[in-house]
Formats: sequence, C-alpha cells, structure tokens
Amino acid sequence: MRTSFIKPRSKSLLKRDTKFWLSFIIISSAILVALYTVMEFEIAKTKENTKKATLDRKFLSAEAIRLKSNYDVLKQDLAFAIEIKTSNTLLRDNISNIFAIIPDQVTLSKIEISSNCLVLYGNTPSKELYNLHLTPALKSIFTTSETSFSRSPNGLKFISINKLNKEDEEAEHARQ
Amino acid sequence: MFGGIVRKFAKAAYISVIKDGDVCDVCVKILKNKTEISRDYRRFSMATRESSKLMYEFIGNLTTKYGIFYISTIINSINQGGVPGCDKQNFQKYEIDTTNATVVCIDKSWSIFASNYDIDAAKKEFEDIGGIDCLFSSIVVLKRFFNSELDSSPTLCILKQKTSATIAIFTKDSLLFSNYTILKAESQDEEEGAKKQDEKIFGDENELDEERLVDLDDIALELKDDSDLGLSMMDDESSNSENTMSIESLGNDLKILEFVKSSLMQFYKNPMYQSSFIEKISIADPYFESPDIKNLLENEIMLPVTHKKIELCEITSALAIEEVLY
Repeated sequence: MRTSFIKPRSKSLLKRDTKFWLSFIIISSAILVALYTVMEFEIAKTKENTKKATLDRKFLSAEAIRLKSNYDVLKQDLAFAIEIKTSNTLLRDNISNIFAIIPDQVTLSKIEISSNCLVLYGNTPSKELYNLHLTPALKSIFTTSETSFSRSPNGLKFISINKLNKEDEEAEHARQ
Repeated sequence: MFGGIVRKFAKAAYISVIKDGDVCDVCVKILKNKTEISRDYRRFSMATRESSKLMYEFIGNLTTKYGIFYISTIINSINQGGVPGCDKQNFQKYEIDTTNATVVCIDKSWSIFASNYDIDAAKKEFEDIGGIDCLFSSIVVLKRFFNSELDSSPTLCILKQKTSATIAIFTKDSLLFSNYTILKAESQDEEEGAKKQDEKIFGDENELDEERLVDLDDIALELKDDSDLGLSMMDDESSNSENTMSIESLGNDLKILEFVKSSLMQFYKNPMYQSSFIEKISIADPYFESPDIKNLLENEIMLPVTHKKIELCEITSALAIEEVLY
C-alpha cells in the first residue's frame, strides 16, 4: 500500500563511476566483437570466393581442353569436308566431261563410277557410230576401254568398262 | 532478472531522518533479502553548524558504505493534512484545492495530501545527503502508531513534536478529522539555537524575560497545583537551564492545548465533519519531556488521556521499508 507522497527512486547496485567504466568496457567489447565478426565474415567470404575461383579455373581449364579437342575434331571434319567437296567437284566435272563426250545419237541408261573405273550402259544405233564418236574419247582418258555390244529392239545395247591405272590417276590429279 | 537476484544478496540501508527543531533523529535499518540484519539510532543536535555537520557525515558514510539506500522523512509543512474518503469531490467538500497538491489514498477510506511546493522543498532539503525516497505524512505515522488501540469510537490522536503538532481523529477504519500546526518556526528555532550557542560561549548574559517567566509560572500553577515542575527551584542557578526547558515545554503544552481546543471546536461545530463524540485522547510524544501534558489535557478537555513515547524514526523507517519492498 502506498503511503508516501513520493515514489522511491530506483536504486542501482553500481556506482556512477563503475557504471561509466562498465559501459565503456561493454561498448568497447561490443565494438571488438563486431569488428571480429565482420572480419571473420569477410575472411570466410574471401575463402569462399577463392575456392569458387579455383573451381572455376579448373572448370575453365577442362573446358579449354575440351574446346581445343573439339576444335581439332572440327578442323579434321573441315578438312574432310573440303576433301569431299573437292572430290564432289571433281566427280561433277568428270560426269560433265563424260556427258560432253557422249554423242547425241547414243543414249546412256546407267553409269557406274568408282575411283579408277567407269562403266557405261546404254543404246547406240550402230557399232560404227559408237566407235567413231565415243571410243576415241574414252581411250584418250582411260588406260583401258573395253566395250561389248548386244542386240536390242532399239538398236544395240552396249556396256563399256573403262579403267584408269593408279599412276595415271595421280598424274591426272596433279594436273588438276 | 539478474539484477533481482543480485539485489537479494545486496544490503540496503533504510535511513529515516526526522528533523525537529534543534534535534535530528537518524534511524538506520540494514536489510538483506527483506530481513533486518542490523539497526542503528542516533540523535544529533542541530543547534550549531558543527553538530549538524556530524549528522551529514553520519548519513554520508552510510550512503557511501551501502550502494542501495533509501532516505525517508515526514513532511513538516502547514499545507498538508488528511480528509475522509478518497474521491476528489471530497476535497471540494472540505474546501481543499488539490490542483498543486499530491493526494494519496489510504486504505480506500481516507486520503492525505500535501502541497507540491512543500514536497519539492523537502526534496531540495535532502539533496545534499543523496535525495529523499519516501516522504510520509504525520497522520499516517499516527495511524500506524495507534492502530492497535483504535476502535469504532473516535479517538483524538496527537503527535507532539518540538516544532509542530498533528491532530487526527481516527476510528478503527477511517479518519474523521485532521489538523496540523507549527508550534515553533524553524528560523525561530535556529535563532534560539544560535542564541544558546552564544550563551555557551559568552556566558548566560541574556536572561529570559522575567515577566514572561512569571506569566508562565502563574498559568502553570493555575492548571496544576501539585505540579512537579519545580518552579520553586528557579532561584537555584544550577537548575536554571532545566527550568528554562520546563517552561519552554509548558509553553508548548499550552499551545497544544489551544490547538486541541480549536480543533475540537472545528470538528464539533463545522457541519462538514461527522461530529461523533470523542471518547479519548492519545498523545504520541517522541521526547516525553513534558509528562504534564496528560494532566493538562485531562483537566481542560475532560477526557481520558494516554501519553506514550513514540519512536518516530523507527515507524518512519518501517513505513519506508513497506513502501519500497511491498
């Protein structure tokens, strides 16, 4: 029950000077702890970044090796593609040349081309026409040229097998 | 929480300081975990600066020794009192303006009040010794002291101090009337103290006014034929100071008599008070220097009077302990 006109003041166990020093120590300690925490955090962050950078470096090294390997493969592929292209161009030119030497009266039904052999299937009105217009041209290109004829309702059917020796082929390549 | 645990093991000093004229009672109770472990009581003379300095030193030592201390006292101001009831309307009824006053409700049945100005003055007075924590009304002290003797019939209780007197008419549960008077102003008291000091130094050159002495003698003889005041011994120089004290005391007694009479007149005649018949008078006296007050009042007021010694300082410190701990 309250009987006093004034309320008792709250009392502290510590003296004013002690309070001051205690506050100073507590504040200083708090600052030190805060600094320590911040530094610990920064160190941990830096360590983490270093670790991450190391992993990135390793990954990038592996990636570089992989890319280099890919580059080599692509380079080979490119060379191969160029070779195929060259080969195709050569083949196209050869086919054009073959078609160019076929006379109008001779009709081709099938052509078989390999690296050093050309087989022609077709019809010719007469053997003489064939030998006159086509045989000289084939013989000038290929090393051997053998033609066999057979009768058909439209005239003569022929099969011409033309072969090229390796040396001649290489010489031709060199010429091209 | 931590503070509370530490506080349990810390000692707290409850210092009660009762300044009354040229004396100051200091009562110290040391409590640890709500248990009293020691107590001390000193009475200091405030007649001179040197003697009052001793009191300040004593309290200063205590406040330095004990980190936790509570200083309490009772308010000595004319602008204080008590009224029945706790409602603010009651104060208007008793023509008391509580705008600049502090009001405390006691037991939900009566209130005490004191001027804020006087409360601040009391706070300032104790600033030098560490400030004040509890400021009690003498009416509360009276109630505490006579509480066991009170019953349903009204009792007029008087707290008789050197410089002031408090009257409170109590029943068991309530306060019916209260009044406070200054018997001797502090400044007057200080002057007398200085005068006494001069007498000690320069000898008894300034004798008391003879006419005044004669008048007081006559009054004393009129009131009590078989008085043991020993006025016949006045001629004896060795008992001169004792006689002076007795005369002073008698003067105070007469003032108190007048105060009681005027208070009773006010209580019975003023319609704002519940005028029950007062059956007895109880006097609480911290000094017990004038036992004649009992006969004086009995003869003049015609009521049974009890006269008891009150340990004012002790009660104040007990009230302070309750105020702080409970």
